[in-house]
Amino acid sequence: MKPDALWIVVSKELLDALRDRRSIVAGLLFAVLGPLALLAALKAMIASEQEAGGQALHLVGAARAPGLANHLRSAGVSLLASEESPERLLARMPGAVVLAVPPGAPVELARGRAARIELWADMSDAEAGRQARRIQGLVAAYGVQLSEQRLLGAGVAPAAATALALELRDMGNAGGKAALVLGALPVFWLLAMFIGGSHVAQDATAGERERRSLESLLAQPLSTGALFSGKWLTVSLFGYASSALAVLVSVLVLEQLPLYELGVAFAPDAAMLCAILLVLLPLAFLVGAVQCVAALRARTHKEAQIYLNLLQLAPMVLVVEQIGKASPPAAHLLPLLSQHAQLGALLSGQPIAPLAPVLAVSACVAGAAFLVWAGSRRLASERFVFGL
Amino acid sequence: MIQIENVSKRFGALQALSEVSFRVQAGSITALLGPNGAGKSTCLRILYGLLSPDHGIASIAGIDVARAPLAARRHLGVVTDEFGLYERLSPREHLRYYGRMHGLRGPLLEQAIGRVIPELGLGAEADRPCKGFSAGQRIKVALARALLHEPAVLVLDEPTRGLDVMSTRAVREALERARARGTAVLLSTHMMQEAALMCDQVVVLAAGRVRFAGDTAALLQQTGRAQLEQAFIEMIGSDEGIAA
Repeated sequence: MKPDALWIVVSKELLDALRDRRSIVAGLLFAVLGPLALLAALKAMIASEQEAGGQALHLVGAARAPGLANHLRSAGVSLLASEESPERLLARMPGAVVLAVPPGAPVELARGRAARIELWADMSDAEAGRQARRIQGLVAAYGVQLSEQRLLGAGVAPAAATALALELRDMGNAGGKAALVLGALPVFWLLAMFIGGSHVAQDATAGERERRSLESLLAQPLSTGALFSGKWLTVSLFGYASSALAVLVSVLVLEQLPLYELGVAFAPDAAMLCAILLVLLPLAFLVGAVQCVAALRARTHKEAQIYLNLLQLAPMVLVVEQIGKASPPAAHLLPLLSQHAQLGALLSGQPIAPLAPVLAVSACVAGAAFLVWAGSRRLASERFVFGL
Repeated sequence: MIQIENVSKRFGALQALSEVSFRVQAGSITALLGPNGAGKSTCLRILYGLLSPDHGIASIAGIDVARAPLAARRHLGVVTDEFGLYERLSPREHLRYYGRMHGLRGPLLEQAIGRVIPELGLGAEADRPCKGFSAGQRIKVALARALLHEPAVLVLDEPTRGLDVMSTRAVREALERARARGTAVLLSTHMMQEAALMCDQVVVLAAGRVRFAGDTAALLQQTGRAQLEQAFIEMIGSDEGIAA
């Protein structure tokens, strides 16, 4: 098959599909709206968390710790300076959270020792407990900053002194919910892939039969392999573009959200973005092939739409079945499941299972090659073309 | 140019063609005449290589279509029974697509497009999407598409069905021009008038068999009838599916 022959078909199908504005807008709308809706949910979560952070913190001895006070303020905590003793404050306001900097703290700090500060709260009170835990985290982070400055002053690289970095992933709090929301993003990217190529697959296969242009097309000096492959490549391209758009929108919006407020570490960089797009690429070719073969069975747009809508349910499998840590490596031969697992790992900053990319790409390439072969053969069959 | 030799084709219990043989010379027009279901479309589809014959050989410009369909189709221009246009593409874009499939590129392709558009009177709508085109405009696009690469053989499946007088005339003129250029033209029809008016040869097909092959004068002579319509009815043994 000559690349030139493929390009003839791809360029025509691209032109034809790009003219179908309504279908394109509908497809793209989904690609953009899905992630946006999820991210709106995240944003609402952050807002409620910030509101919780808005409950004032009573800081006793604020004058003795201006750096700490600034650190807390910049994290969105509103401070109430007080000189009352914590016991008396709590007796007066049982739900309050009090941070006390004892008079000796600045001296201890200056001598290079650990300065003792106290956090007072009724931890059996859910609201106060949550606020106290948040303050605990913020103060600890400030403490780490100070330690690092000390180490640098002593000529030691701070990283050398950090043997362990424990991150708490509490699935019960807003951070955990946010992690779940983030985890749902790949499902939307995969769905966008199915939806983006769907209308092109319908038009390029069942559409040719419905408008009766197939017979004339097949009577031209172009092999059915070139014809089917050209259609398949176009469908795959649309699916991939739609999926990539969903990824880009997600990342752009996520970058604007202060996810650290929820304790979620997510810093998408160019490398992560490239990795995500690379993971999706082989799957796009397989999904395109499945869609073309499925739609080729149909005689009309409408019939093809039914098949392709059913296919769009495929990513829903991920809601019930996923590749976990306990799954054998061969599980990555399962398209969709493997990509989902790889994307999840990328998003949460965990390493991808070592053989996963190789297995996933092999499965997609083999699957797509078989389907393209089968589709080309079908197109060459007189039984199929004339419905005999 | 076109040679059909002892071609038979069966679909399940139905014998669609039995030992059909005829030839079409370069620079001539042949009408494949027959009632509905006579096997006209099957015969043409064997000629494009979309159906393979059970027996016999169909060849175009000396190339066996079943053995080398792509090579044979390079010499072939086809207008199928449904013109099958892409609604969102303009006639010019249709011509580019088909021209490129036939190996035309760059200036040569544009030159060929520049030739067929005025030839078929498509100038006004050449750059308009085909959506909403009349039947007459559609056949013109389909014909332009088939004539673009100046094929040695032109095959048309009922090209004038459903056309008004003016469009029918435009088709006839295009076919006569093709004949003058040396193209072998084969068209299926059940319009007697059409066959009598422009065809050099008539092949009468009924129930999958060739009942007659020759010019219209010979058909009248052989049946002893004065009118073509009656001669035709006599040939096929019924008056089903013909139009004067």
